[in-house]
Amino acid sequence: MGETMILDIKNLQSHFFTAKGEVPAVDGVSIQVPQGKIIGIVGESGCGKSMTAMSVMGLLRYPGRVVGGSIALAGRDITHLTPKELSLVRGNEISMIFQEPMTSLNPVYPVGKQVREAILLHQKLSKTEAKERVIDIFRAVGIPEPEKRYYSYPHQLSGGLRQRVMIGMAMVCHPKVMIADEPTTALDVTIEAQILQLMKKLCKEQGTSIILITHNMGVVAEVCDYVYVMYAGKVMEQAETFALFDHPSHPYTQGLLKSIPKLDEKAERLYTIEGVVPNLLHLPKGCSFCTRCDQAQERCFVQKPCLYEAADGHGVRCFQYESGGQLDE
Amino acid sequence: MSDRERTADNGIQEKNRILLEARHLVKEFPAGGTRKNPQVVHAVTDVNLEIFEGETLALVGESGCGKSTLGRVLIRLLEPTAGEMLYQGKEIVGMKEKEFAALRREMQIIFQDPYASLNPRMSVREIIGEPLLTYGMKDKKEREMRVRELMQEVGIAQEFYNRYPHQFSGGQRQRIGIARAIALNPRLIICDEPVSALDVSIQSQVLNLLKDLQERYGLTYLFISHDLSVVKFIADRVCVMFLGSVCEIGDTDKLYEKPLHPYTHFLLSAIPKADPRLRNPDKELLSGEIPSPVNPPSGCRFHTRCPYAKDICSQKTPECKKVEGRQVFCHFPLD
Amino acid sequence: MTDEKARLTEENAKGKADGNAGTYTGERETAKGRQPQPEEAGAQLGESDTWTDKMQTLMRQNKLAVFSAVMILLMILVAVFAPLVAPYDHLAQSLPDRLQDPSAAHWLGTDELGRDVLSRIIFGARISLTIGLLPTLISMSIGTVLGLCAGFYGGKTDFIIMRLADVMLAFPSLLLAMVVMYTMGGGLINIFIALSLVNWAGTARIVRSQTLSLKEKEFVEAARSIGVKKWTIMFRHILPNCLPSLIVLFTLNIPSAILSEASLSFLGIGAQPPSASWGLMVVRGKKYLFSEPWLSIAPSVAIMIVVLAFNFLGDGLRDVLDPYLKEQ
Repeated sequence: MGETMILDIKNLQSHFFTAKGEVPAVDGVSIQVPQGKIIGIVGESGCGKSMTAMSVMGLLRYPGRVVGGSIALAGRDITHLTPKELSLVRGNEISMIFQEPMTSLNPVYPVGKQVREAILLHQKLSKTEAKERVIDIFRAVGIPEPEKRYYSYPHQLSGGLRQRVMIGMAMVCHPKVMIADEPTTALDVTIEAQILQLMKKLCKEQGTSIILITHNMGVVAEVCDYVYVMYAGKVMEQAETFALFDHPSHPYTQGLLKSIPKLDEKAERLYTIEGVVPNLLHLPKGCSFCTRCDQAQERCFVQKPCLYEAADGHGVRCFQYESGGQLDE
Repeated sequence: MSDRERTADNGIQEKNRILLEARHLVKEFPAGGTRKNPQVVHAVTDVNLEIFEGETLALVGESGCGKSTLGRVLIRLLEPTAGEMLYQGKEIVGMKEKEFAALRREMQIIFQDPYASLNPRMSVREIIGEPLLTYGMKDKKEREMRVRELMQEVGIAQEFYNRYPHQFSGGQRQRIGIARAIALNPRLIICDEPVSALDVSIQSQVLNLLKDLQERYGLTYLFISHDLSVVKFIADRVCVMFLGSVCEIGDTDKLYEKPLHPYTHFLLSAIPKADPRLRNPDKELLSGEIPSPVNPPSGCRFHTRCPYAKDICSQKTPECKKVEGRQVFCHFPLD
Repeated sequence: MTDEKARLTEENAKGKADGNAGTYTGERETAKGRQPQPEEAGAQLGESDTWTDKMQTLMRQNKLAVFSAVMILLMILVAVFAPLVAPYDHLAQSLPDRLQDPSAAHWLGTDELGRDVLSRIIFGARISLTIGLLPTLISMSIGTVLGLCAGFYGGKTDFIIMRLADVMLAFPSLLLAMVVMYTMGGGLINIFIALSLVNWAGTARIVRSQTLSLKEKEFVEAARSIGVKKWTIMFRHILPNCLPSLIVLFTLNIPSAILSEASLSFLGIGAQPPSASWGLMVVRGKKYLFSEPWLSIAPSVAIMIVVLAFNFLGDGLRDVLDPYLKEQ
């Protein structure tokens, strides 16, 4: 990947310090985000995908803490910024949208005002100018009748419209990177398709890079350029979308793809990955997937695999690809 | 699948074995308004539905389309506002609770949320044992045997007999919910989004389990879901709903291959497919939002979002049209 | 969020949720909608909901509450074994020894009849603790049953019970207790009855609001779909889930009952002499407040310690068991 990286996360480690022990929620994750691309982070719940995003945004709360690694935004290390400096970066250069927009919007203010506040916070504009900007933004994210919607309260909008407002708010300062944490999970399929299309459009027209966090392989296939598959706090496989779906290489990715019911075939039984996600407090000694892996060998239980290069730009954390050479640490 | 084959083999005779039939079913909820001008949520409007013995009928639709409400009305967890329901030919609307009790054990429900559907203060033994106790299995030893048998059936290890729900993962909890539902050997199980709260890898385990159980006990499922890929896997027939009314009912394969109702078509094309080669940047998307069930559009409920809508669609509610053995409620079905 | 939300809207529309939707926070509320469940995520983040876990959290976080619990336990032990612990008989008068200053023989001195103050306080603990525990238990049981009925049946039942509760709450409870005491006369048994009748309304309100949100939960729906009887649902499914709040409420109601007894006795319509009620001791010592202040101060301090201990314990329990009550 020769492009310039707008966001470069190296060996990020975020741990939770709980009464029962230290939980490695994010355990050495490296993610590169090139300019104007959509990067997917996919995985099941508890795999650390949201925690990665929160760490990047500096939003990790007690008992969680970033304990290692570096995060560089447009070449500048933002890992050790003071809270004040970070709040300038947040919203301005990097922004985030969440799964349930209702909880991120204040229910007692009209949505237009809330977006206007976001503008006034970061830009020197008069209130009327800012309002016009808001209406422009609303139009850009496809909200019908933006002048009227400016005065609507969050509960008067449908889930899809609320998510559009959130995207609009995230886009006010033309951030370099937008992190979207399960942005369509709470929405209906037809609305989901609209929002995905909107995100693709914004990425293309404004050159914003998007990190899309999801559990839905379909969403990844639909919009992402490059995909990271996470499991138990680690990246298991990373590849360009087409390569990943054409040649899923890690047994976990293979299993995930096989276990989704397909629309175009009638199966008698679904493939299943046996067992459950391991408790992060009691991870297996070797590969964290070894207990559920149907291709596991003896050494998988005792030795931790690194990320190996299976093909150009295709990393797999599995000993089967050891010949490809290491990608991390 | 086997049931459908059986249906096909035995011809008309088997096909007529309707387990549960709904006729002109209506469910409305009061939604405030003034006393003079009360408002109602039209959750289910004039639904006609037949569930055949041994089949899996899927109810599909977006939020607020009334599929969950319909499921609950069908097993009388909610009382319908109007309409008839026939269980094995017997009218069950308005039946006294005492009389209905015998039928109640034949209809069970599995819930979406494995966290809310199990009482956090009851152990697995009590949760699965409760239906047995309710229907008169007073003997402790007998009950324990049956509970353990059910645990085995759904794949919960025997040593968890005295554990509490919070000690289980989402998938295991859902299995406990399933064990509770099959404890009384029911005929009909309403599955209300049973896998949508589960992770992909757990989802397939539960789906397989549901299919196995159906085969073993000849269960009939009403499978409520918004996920069309899951429905494709499990259902024999599909009923697509929009805003409280039925759009289309038909065999799964045929319906997916060639949707007749425009809404079904757009629903199918909107699903993100897990294959980047199927990407289509010019994909035609359904615009607009779902109308409010308090003031549903006149005529065909879908006409405000339908790109093919004509004048008549906003004036007249479409009648049921039978096309190749499928039912479609549209003035201008696709072909 | 899709169907759940639609259903919630419908339920709100039904008017049953009654502004109480989501008030019950004992269990995970995030489980709605399509977001996949974290498999054992609770365990991973160290939050769990067993009693043992919660008590462990309490021990770790709130040393004051633990200390209070130990104090209360000690006090109960002292009250139970009062005849063994007390240095003198609490009723034995000895006029030559009257109004003595605290000394090695009488740690807290003696009163105007020469009775040992420490012994009287130790025996007084029996009265105060019984008054604290028993009427609270009775009034809360009444409140729980009424609250359950109101919340579960709704409609007219709800209306009648809750209006009755409103009336009860509109009167200052001490005043109400005084009215009861005046009509029935003084004495410990009557204090029991008065306090039992007066304090149920607050419990009823809280139980009702919890019942309202709990009865919309799917596990209650599941029980209904099985055909479980209404009373069984109320007492097997709903009541156990109200328990955390009830326990908190219990510990917080005890001090107010103890104080009520003290106040009633102070006003002369509670415990009658010669019983060693703390409130009575305060009032008897009043006369000698300037010459022998310990006569009033010692029982007052005893009341204060018990009340504070129960309050601290209640606060601590509330933090771990019932975050909802905290917001109120």
